[in-house]
Amino acid sequence: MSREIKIIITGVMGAGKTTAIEAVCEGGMVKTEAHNSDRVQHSKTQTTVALDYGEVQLEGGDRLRLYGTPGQGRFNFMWQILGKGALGVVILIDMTRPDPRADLRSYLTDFSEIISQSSGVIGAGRCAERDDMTTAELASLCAEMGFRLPVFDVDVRRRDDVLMLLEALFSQIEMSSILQTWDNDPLEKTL
Amino acid sequence: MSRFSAVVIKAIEQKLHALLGVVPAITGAFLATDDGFEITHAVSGREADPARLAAMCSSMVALSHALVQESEIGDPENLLIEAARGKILLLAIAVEPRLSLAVIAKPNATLGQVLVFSKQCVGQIQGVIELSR
Repeated sequence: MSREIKIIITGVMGAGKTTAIEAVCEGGMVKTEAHNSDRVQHSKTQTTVALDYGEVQLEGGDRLRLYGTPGQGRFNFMWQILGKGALGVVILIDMTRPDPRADLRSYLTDFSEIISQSSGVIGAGRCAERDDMTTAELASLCAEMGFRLPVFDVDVRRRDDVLMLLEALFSQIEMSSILQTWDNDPLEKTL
Repeated sequence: MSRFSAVVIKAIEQKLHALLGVVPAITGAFLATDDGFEITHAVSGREADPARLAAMCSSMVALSHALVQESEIGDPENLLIEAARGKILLLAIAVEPRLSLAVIAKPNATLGQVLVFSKQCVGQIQGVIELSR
């Protein structure tokens, strides 16, 4: 039986959430962009204010439903709304920001419930432009906070990079689902 | 990070207070940018946090825009939410940068009256902004 799997794509403003969904989504994508009047925060002209939505059909018949969140903290009410029923979270980190570790810590905290109950994956962008921090440091931070999450160096404009993130996440969701079945079914344990 | 001069904001604020004056059932009017920043507001009692309300207002207007585009019925003009203890009317304002007005009214407010005077207020706000340019 095919499944519909809800995935959240989050991260700071300008990390590439909308671009990532655009890169992999099949068919029409829903965007809620507004003119960005806060050029101090980021120089881009448009910003997501409610959600982005796109779908990806997997080979086995399952379908990923991708929800991109707004990045700014003033929209954190949307994070809670969008997070309901999600089975996994992709956190995109912009390595050129002043403190990517602080960004990651903040999003891990906000999405800790979904990640601890199911799965998460980190995509670090613009790594080549940062020589004093590596993806390994982001993985260490995840471990310090009690999460074992894969961290990938990605360019979300590339479809293959985004698919890699989604495949890593999907594998974790599958594994989590198998382990839950195992925990809930004593008969399975004896086999 | 002001988008309008203090004089313009003061003039808009007067229009919002006038709206509350002409329709007593309206308890709050909040003006926000389309990316969720509060410009100014007028309230007659205790209302929600204006900054948070501005962000929510922009999300709602953006979602309604996505919905009407999907339905191919043109651009959204206003959005009405009726709740047990009040009504919220969101109106899009066609100026650059795009703005939206959230009007909060008591449950017994006459909807037509709220709508007509809120639309008039939107026209007045447009006038103030256009005059300032």
